[in-house]
Amino acid sequence: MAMPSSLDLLQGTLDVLVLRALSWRSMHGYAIARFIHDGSAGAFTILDGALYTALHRMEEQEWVASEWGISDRGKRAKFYRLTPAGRRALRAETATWHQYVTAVAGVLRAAPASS
Amino acid sequence: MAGDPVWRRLRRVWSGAPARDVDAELQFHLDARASDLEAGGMSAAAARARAIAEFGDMPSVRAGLVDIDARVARRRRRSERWDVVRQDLGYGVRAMRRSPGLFAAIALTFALGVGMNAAVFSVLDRLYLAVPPGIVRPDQIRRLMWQPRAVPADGARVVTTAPRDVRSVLGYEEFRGVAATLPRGMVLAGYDTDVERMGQRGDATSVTVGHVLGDYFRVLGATPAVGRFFAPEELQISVTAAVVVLSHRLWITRFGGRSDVVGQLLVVNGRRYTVIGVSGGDFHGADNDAADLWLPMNALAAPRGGAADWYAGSAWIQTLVRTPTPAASADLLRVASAALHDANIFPGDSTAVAMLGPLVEPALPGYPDPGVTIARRLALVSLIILLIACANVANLLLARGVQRRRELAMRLALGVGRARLVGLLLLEAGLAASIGGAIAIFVALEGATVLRRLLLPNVHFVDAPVNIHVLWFTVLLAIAAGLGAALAPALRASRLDLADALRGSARDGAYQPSRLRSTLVVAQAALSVVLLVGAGLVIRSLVGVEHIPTGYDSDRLLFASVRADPDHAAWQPTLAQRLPGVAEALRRIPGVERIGLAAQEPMYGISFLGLALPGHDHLPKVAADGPFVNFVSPDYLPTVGIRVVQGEVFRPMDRYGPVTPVLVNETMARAYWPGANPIGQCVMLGAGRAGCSTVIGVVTDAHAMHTIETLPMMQMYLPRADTGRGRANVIAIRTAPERRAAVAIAVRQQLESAFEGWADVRVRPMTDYLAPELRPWHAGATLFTAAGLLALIVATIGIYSTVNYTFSQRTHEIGVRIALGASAWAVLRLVISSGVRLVIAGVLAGLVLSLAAGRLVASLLYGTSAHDPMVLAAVALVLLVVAIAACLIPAWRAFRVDPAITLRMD
Repeated sequence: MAMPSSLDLLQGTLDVLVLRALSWRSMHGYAIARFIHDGSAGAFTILDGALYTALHRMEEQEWVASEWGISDRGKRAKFYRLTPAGRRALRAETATWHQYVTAVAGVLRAAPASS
Repeated sequence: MAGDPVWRRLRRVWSGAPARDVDAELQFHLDARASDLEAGGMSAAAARARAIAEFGDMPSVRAGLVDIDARVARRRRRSERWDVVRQDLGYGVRAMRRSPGLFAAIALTFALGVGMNAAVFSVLDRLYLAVPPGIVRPDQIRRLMWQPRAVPADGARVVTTAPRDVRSVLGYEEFRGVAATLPRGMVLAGYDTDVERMGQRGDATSVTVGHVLGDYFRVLGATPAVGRFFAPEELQISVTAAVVVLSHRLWITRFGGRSDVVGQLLVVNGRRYTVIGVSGGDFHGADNDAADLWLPMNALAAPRGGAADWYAGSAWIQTLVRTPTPAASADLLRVASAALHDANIFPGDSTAVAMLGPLVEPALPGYPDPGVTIARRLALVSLIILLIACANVANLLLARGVQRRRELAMRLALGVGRARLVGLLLLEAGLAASIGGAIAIFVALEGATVLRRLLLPNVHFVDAPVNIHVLWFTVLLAIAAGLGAALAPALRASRLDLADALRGSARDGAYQPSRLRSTLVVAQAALSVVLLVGAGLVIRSLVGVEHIPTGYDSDRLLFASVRADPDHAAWQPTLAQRLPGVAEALRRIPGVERIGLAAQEPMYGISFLGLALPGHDHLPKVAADGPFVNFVSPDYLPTVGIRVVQGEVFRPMDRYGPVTPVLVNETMARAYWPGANPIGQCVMLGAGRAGCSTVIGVVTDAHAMHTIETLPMMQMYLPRADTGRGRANVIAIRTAPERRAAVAIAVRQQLESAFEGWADVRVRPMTDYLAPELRPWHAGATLFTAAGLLALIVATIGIYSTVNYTFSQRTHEIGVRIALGASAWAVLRLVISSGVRLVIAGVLAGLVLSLAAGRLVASLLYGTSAHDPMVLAAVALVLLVVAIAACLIPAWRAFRVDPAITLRMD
C-alpha cells in the first residue's frame, strides 16, 4: 500500500483532510477528492489512488463507515461517513496538527540566541 | 460499524464480493472525474486518460483495496456470528428459566447417560490405552510372550495347539536363556507382582510388592529420587540381598519423605530389608496394579528354602524388553524362541514360539480376566443407555416443540430464518447437555470408582479415575448426545405450517399421530428389551455358577490353616507335630461333625510332584496342569465330601512300610489307565527315586483351581506325614450347616490359644475360597441389572409422556366419542392401545435384536443359552406390564373427560 504523492504530503496529513471532509456530511470518494482539491485551492495534487487507500484503511480502523447510495448524478456510489471513533480521531489529529504547525512556525520565526 | 443491524442488512443485500465492490467504486470515480473534465471542454478520450493518470498506479491500488476489504468482511462475519450466538444464548437461558423442570429432566438424563459412558471409558482407558505414569518412551517397550506349539514327527510343519493359548510368564531358566543371548542394544527386565505384608504384628499392612530381575528400572526408564536402584550383584539368585526400593508414595506416607531414609530397615513378610533408594515421581511399575516397593526377585526364594529349587520350579516372570528399533524385534523373537526351546521344559513333541505384545495389557494373556470382559461389554451397554436417553430427550423436545408452536411460528413470521431457528433450538438443548455433561463428570468419578472396585478388586489403583482423556471424552460425548437428541426435534419444529400454527389452538383439525415420536418409543422399548435380556441372562448364569458342584460339600466346610509366623519359622516342624493333637481337641466344639488334616488348602493351594509311570515316556495330559497332589489324613476325604468310587481309602495310622499308597481321582484313573483296573498300578513319585507307589483306590473328582473348570483336573492323594514334605498345616472341619459361623469363631479361639504368640491362624469357610471366582459374576449381574432397570425406567417415562401427549391431542375427539355414546371401556382401550401397540412393536424388535446380539454376551454366560426362551419371555412380559402401567394415568384422565367441557372449548 504505497502512498504515492507528487507533492509530498506529510504522513497522516491525508487522513486528517479526509476526516475533515467527512465531518460535515457523508460523501463518496470523488466528492472527497474534489473537496480537498478545492479547499487547498489546488495546492495539493493528491493521487486519487492514495485517497482511496486511505479511505479503505480508515474503514478497517472503523474511523469511517461506508454504504452504497445514489449520487447526485443519479448513479450508484459508495458513500463514506464518520463514525464516533473517526470523530475522536479527527479531534486528536487536528490538535496534533495545530501543535506541529505552531511548533514549526515558532522555530521559523525564532532567531538564534547569541551564545 | 458495530451494533448497527440496519446498515449491515443493507450492506449484505447490496454488496457482493470485495473485488466487485472496489471495481464499482473506482468505476464511479473515473466516470465522475471524466464527465467533469468533459464538461470543462475536454474530449471524451482525453478526459478518461487524464482521470486515469490522476489516479496513479491503478492495478496495485486496486489490489490493495481488495485486500483491505476482504479483511474487513471476514472480521464482520465473525463478529456477526458471535452476536447471533450471544443472542441465542440469552434466549436459551430465558427458555430454561421458564421451564426448569423440563430442563432439569433433560440435563439429568444426559448426566446419567453420558456419565455412565464416561465411567466405563475411564476404566477401559486405564486397561487398554493409558501407560502407567513415569515410564519413558513406552513405545519402545515390548512384553515377551510365548505360545506352545506341537511339532509333528516329520518336523515339516508347526501346528499351533491352541491358537489363543498365549502365555506371558517365563520360568527362570527361559528368562536366563533370553538374557544370555539378548541382541545388542536391548535391555531385559523381569518382574512378578504380589501382595505381601509390611511391618510387624500391630502395624502390619498389605503392600503390593514388585519382585524384579534384570534391568527393571532401566527398561521402564525410572530414575531414583533418593539413593539408588538395585545393583546387578544384588539381583543374582545365589545371594539374598536384603535390600528394598520404595515407591515415592510409600516414601512420603511411611517415612514422611525424610531424606535419611536410605539405610533404614523395613520389615516385609517378616524379613528385614535395608532401604537403598526411592523411585522418582509417579512411577509405580509397569502395570496399573501399583507397586508400593520393589525387592530383588531372590527375596521370593529365600523363605522357601533353597533358592535354586524355587527358581527351577515356580518362578513366574513377566518379561519386558526395551528395543531401540522395531527392526531389532525380529532378532529378538528368533533368539527368544531358541532360548525357550533350549530351556527344554517341553516334552519332545512340542516347542515354544516367542511373541511380542504391547506394554499395556488389560489382563495377562492366557489368563482372561472376566472383569475385563465385563468392562468391554459394559461399554456397549452404556452406549445403549445413552441411545435410550437421547431418544427420551428427543421425545421431550418434540413435545415441547408442539407446545411452542405458536411462539416459533411467530418468530418465523417475523422473519427469523429457519436455519437460525434450528440453531436456537439446538443451542437450548446444548445448554441442557452442557449442564448434564458437567454433572456427568461427577457421575463418572463416582461410577469409575465403583466399577474399579467391582470389576478389578485386585488391582491397586493409585491415580484418580477422571483424567484429561476422560474429560475430553465426556465433553465430546455430551456435545454429540445433545446434537443427536435435539437435531430431529429442531428440524421438525422449524417446519411449521405458519398459518395453521398461528391460527389454531392445540387441537385444531384432526389429530395427527407423530411418526417420529412413535419410532422413538419403539426404539426405546427395543433397546430396553436388549438390556433386560442381557441382565436376565447374566443373572441366570450367576445362579448357574453358584450351583456348580465343585466336588466339595462347600456350604458346611471350614478350613483352618496354621503356620509359624516368620519370626518363628524354625518351629514349623514342631507345629506340624502338635497339629493332630490340637485338631483332635476341636472335635469337642458343638456343631463339628468331622475333622481331617491336609497339607494344602482347597482350590488354590496346589502342589506338583515329579511323576512317572513305568513303561511310559510321556504322560497323557487332560488339562494344561496337573496332576495335583495333596497329603491328607484318612479322615480328610470324607470330611470334605470326596467319596471313594473303587478300592479303599487310607487306613488310620497306616505307615505302609516302604510302599506309599496313592489315591487317584476318576479323571486321572481314566487318563492313565484307560480300560484297565487302576487298583494295584504303580506310580513313581519324585522322578522315580522312591520306587513304586501303589494305587489303592479311586475317588470322586473335585475342582482343583477354579469354580468353573472346563476340563476336569487330575488329582492324587498321598497319606499325610508328620514331618517332611507332606506335613499338614491345614485342618478341614465339617460342620452342621447352620452352625458354621459359630464353629469358625470357636475354632479360631482354640487354635490361637494353642499356638499362643508364634503362629498365624486363618479360619475361612469353603465359600471364601470360591468367592473370588464368583465376584466377577456378581459384579456382572449387579451392573447389568442396574443398567437394565435404568433403561426400563427411562423407557417407561418415554412411553408415559408419549401416551400422555397423544391423549392431550385427542381430548376433543374423546369428548366427541363420549358424547356420541362410546362406552368407558372403549375409551380406555383407545388410550391404552395407543401406548401398548408401540411397545409391542418395540418388544418384537428388541427380541430380534437380542437374538442377533446373543454372540456378544455368550462369553459372559455360563450354562445358559444366549437365546434362553425363559429370559426372553420374562422380559417381554415385564415390558408389557410396565407399558400398561404407564398408560394408566392418561387412561384414567381420559375416563374423566367431560364432553360438556371439551366440546365447549371451541
